[in-house]
Amino acid sequence: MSQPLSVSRRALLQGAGGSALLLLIAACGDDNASVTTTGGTDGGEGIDTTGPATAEEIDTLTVAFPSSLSNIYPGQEAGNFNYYVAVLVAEALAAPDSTGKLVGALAESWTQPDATTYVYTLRSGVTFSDGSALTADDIVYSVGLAKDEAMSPNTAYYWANVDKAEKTADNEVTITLLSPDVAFEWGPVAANAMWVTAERFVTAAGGELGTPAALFTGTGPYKVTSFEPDKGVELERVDTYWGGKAPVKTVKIEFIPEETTRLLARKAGDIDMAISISLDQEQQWKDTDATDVLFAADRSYVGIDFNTAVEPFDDIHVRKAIALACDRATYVEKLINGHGEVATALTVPQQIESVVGDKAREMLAVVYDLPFDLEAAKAELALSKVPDGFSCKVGVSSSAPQVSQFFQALAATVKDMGITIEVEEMPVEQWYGTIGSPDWGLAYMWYFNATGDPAELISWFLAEGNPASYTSEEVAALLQQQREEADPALRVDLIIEAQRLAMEDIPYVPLWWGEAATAIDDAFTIDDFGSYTLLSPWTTRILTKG
Amino acid sequence: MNALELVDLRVTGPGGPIVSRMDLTVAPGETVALVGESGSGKSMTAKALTGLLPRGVTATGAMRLGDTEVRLDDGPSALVGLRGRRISLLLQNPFTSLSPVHRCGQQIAAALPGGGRGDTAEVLRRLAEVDLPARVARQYPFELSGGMRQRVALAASLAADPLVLIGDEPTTALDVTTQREVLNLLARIQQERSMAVLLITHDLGVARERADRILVMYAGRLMESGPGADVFSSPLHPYTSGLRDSEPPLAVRLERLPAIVGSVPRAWEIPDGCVFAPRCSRADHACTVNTPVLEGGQRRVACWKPLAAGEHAQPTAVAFTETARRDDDLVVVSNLTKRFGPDSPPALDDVHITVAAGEAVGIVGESGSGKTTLARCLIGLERADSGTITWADGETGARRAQIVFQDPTSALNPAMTIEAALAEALRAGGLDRSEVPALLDLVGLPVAYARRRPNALSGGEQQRVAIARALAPRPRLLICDEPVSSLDVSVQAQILNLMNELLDELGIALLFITHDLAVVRQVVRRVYVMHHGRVVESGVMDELISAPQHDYTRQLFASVPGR
Amino acid sequence: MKRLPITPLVAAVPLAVVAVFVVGAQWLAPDATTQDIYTGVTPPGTDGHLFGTDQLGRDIWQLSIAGAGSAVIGPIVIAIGSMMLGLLLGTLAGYIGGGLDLVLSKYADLLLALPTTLIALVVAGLVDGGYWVTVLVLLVLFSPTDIRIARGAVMAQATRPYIESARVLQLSRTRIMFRHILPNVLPIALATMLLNVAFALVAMSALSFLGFGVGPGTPDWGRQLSDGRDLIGQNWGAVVVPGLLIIITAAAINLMGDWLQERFEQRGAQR
Repeated sequence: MSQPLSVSRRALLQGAGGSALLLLIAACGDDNASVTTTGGTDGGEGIDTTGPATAEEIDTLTVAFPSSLSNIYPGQEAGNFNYYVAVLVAEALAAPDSTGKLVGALAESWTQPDATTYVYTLRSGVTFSDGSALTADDIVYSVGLAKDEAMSPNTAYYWANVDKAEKTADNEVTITLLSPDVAFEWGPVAANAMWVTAERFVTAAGGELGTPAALFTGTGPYKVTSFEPDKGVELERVDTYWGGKAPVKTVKIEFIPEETTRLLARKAGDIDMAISISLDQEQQWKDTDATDVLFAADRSYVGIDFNTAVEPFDDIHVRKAIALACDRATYVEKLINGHGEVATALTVPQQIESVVGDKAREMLAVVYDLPFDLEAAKAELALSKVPDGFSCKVGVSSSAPQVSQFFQALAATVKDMGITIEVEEMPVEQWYGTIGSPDWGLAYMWYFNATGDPAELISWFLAEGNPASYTSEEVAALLQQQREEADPALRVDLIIEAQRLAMEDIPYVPLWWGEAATAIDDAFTIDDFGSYTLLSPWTTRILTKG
Repeated sequence: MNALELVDLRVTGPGGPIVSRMDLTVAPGETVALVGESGSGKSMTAKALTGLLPRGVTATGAMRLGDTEVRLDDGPSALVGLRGRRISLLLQNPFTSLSPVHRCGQQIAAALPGGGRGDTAEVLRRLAEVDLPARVARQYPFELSGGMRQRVALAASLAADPLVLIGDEPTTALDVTTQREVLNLLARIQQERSMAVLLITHDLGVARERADRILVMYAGRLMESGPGADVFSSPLHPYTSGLRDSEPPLAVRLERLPAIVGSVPRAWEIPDGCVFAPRCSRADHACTVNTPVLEGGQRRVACWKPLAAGEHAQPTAVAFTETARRDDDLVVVSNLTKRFGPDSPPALDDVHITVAAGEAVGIVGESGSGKTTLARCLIGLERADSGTITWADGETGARRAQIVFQDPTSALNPAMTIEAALAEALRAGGLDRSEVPALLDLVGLPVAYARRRPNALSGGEQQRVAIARALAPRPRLLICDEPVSSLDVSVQAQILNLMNELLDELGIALLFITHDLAVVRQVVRRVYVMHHGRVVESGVMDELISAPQHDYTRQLFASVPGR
Repeated sequence: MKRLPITPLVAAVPLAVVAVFVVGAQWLAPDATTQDIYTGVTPPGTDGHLFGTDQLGRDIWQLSIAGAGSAVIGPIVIAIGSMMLGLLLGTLAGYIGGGLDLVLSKYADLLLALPTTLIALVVAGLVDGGYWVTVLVLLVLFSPTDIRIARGAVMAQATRPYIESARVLQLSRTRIMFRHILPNVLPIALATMLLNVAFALVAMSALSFLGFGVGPGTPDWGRQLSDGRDLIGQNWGAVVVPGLLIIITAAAINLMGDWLQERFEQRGAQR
């Protein structure tokens, strides 16, 4: 495996916690979060508010998750759904707003006196769910907890660049980095790599932090009242939460991995809401009584990886031939039912919208724009060192049927050119091993952005040790530059330029940006529903329709 | 009024007619014996009378049970209410005719008109009627001996007080001593109840002893009928005569048993004219054209050329002249003991026997006597616990001893042709397969049979093949374990004749094991009598017959029916 | 003229049809794997597609015809292989007895205690083999039943007089086992073999439904079921056609196998 440890497993493991579960889920044919696709319109479709939403109290909200969890502390188990529970229970210094811009959470604000120092001014009046007050010492302790590889193995890498964290005043904490990295801001974010708690709670947990025995005590709007790893989680609203009382009093999360069971539960009225429903069941969910289906871009990227160190993909003509054979618009329309956009870059638009607003797509369009042109593809292949074609295989995770179909369609298209592509399905863990492997010249990536940072994917894909074995001094220099650039707009320009340059060599072929679907009882609505909603305390945004 | 009257019964199966034009009557208190060999149709007659014909077999005819008329054409449903009530059936094998999972009392009670539990006074009374103690009511069939089981079956068949009881070979599966007891019991009960009994049997002796009237069947037709005392003493039909003559006598050993040539035709092989004509020594052309009809008064016969009273169809048999016994022992068995399991009685208990080279020796006993175990020890299928078996000269392996079993059908591999089986046996003796035709000839079978499989042969022919196979490796000793017990009387005679010829021709030794004294009489000179694993008496046959020493031997001789 | 028995006739019809599919797939379904992604999923009755198309535009009916081979050939191999293995080991165990019987019987017991589909899943997950690896695994997992049946049949034959005669003829054990006993045990093994085909068919379909066995793109009923689940709303044919084919084929094989078993048992009883 050539990807560095710094890549978030969560981004790749697509939503389930723990690899053993993945095998089971794959075997049960669950599509869960892997079905999410990039959306057409941002903010989704299908919400019908007949009047202003009200904040009247909702006694219980039952939500179905497509996978089960065994630990609610993402430091221990970092699947997407672990996060969706964690953000209800715990907070950190900053949090993304609905556009992805970082705003203060437990910190009211922060400043950056120099490139490696961040000073956070803490909010006052914050209490843990047991009523005790939050102190700066707790913040410092929580940084240590997040950095600790034994306690938070899944997220500790994010803190590798942090030198120290100190309480510099009663309401102030200063964090110092070893080297400048603009992306660090996303570190102390509950949606990413830090969850604030107090030392006494962790000691009481005795090494079982996040398990049903010990749970996790945070400052969030809800606290966990019961947790059964293969059944569900129950949460109770914390009325002393600094952000006020949310309408939903009790949240019951049920783990229902099987998609038809979930659908039936909704039809029976046993659940009010279902997250990450399968795209192929879209129509059936829509046809269910009293149910709205909301789509939103899920900030996922799907594309082909070529390992340029492996023949014949070391030849740019071969790569270009394949790229020209991809009819991406048809794939989006037919394979993902139009729930996505044709991708033009490695970065998804929502990662830069908070900086450039509506111009996001226009700016990203310059990165990659090869058309679908079979004649040109054939001509390109004729120029390569394998003009008569070649054969190769590609490994596809069994939880990604749309990708399997894509490769089968591609295989049919390129057969006439003499190229034989054999699709091999395998469990997720095994697919993981094909990324960047010298045995697999042709591969794909389905990546979920964990943070809102625009350089998230390219800091892996274009950096040293990337799966395409792509090297370029110019691109490397640009990458270094953007790490240090403080101006967000300039930074975005650098990021886009780096991708554009790299894509001239076609180490990757972007296919689509995906969308995810959420189903909810039509009595409710989700305030400001968008791509970042689930990374915030989303149950607080659930309101009754007027 | 007759208890049972049957007019013009015809039974037809998928292959052709099984029974043709059968009439019979049985009066209350009368025993009528229906005698025939296999293929005679006697069992099918019993089944037709009780509505138990198998699928694909139909019956027509008119029947009267007491005062009830039954048309057999109406199918088995016509007899449903009558079966078990007015007409009852006692089957041959008590092991399979009783339910293994119900207690005996329950089974009798189930047949009673009132039903009820298995331990009522009525059930006990019925058990007493068949001389069984009350405790039997609570026992399961597997806890009883064969004779006792048959009594239970009898009690069950009598439970509804039927007018007519049909016994289909009711004692064939029993030991000869038990047989006598059960037949006595049956006679007594019959007299007490004035019940009509139709006794179906292949055993001429049983018919002779027990029947008031005898009907002789052959290939589905009645050949002859008449009073029991007369039919076999002065037969009118050549078949009856031939049958009677085929029976091996106990009193004297014959040079050659008179046997009827050929074998019983199958349903689809029934010839035109008289069905017996192909095998009849008196037949002429007229016999092959027209079918004779049963005619006569008290004695009736269906034949164009019946025998005159007292006339014999076959020449008188010639007595056998004894030759001196050879001195050289082929095999000596000493102190042979075997127990199957530590708690059971010994199967063999200190047994001594000797067989001289070329000598024919008999082992006589009933089931459980150990005779079969002895044979198996001799050929190596069993190993004795202690004692010795000493073989005189150097032969080992297949050439030492071979065996012929009782049931020829299961003794031949159904998947192998005759030729293959014989060739294999020849090879075992170091001989070549080219000897197969000679072997077939030796046992009196046509060479063309080599290509056939066992299921295409009759029982007698199969046994000939089994004998041929046993003789193929040229063994010094041929052991025969009840070799003719499964065969019809007429075929039995053929096989016994064959054996005598072979002994003469090949000079091999023979160990003939059987329960049938008359049969063994015709083949051997010396005999050992075994009982409960011990040799209780031994000696020359003549002497044993005239002056048996041991109680058991005496009992054995006395049990032989009808001689 | 004997009345023709109904059961095997009824069963033979679908079997004959499937056989035609297997042999004639090339000619009956030449476009089975032809994609037409622009058309995508269509419901039954669309323009030239009797049962519609799947997401890649492939015709469901042709795909089903082409899938017959994979659905049936593997199970036949499994059944034959299992029977042969069962006959061999069962004959050795039943005739030689003693320690060998003990070992083989315990081995069979062990295999029988394992959950078949689960083991097949695990092995298929570990080894990279696809269809034929799955066939091999199922063959081994099915064999203990055949071993038991063969062993029982052999033990029943071993005490019969014709075998004892063979022993008295001092024929070698091998000869007795394979020349005498085996031909008489074969009929019952053959009848059971047919039933095994039905079981194996369902097992293989289940495994390819779960994603093991054939790779994507190869026509296969189980795979079609799995792929078709997502399309139920748009084309019910995608699921119903392969599903019905599996059911009908397995049921027909079962009927036939049952009937044969009964016949062979009757024949045995008559002896």
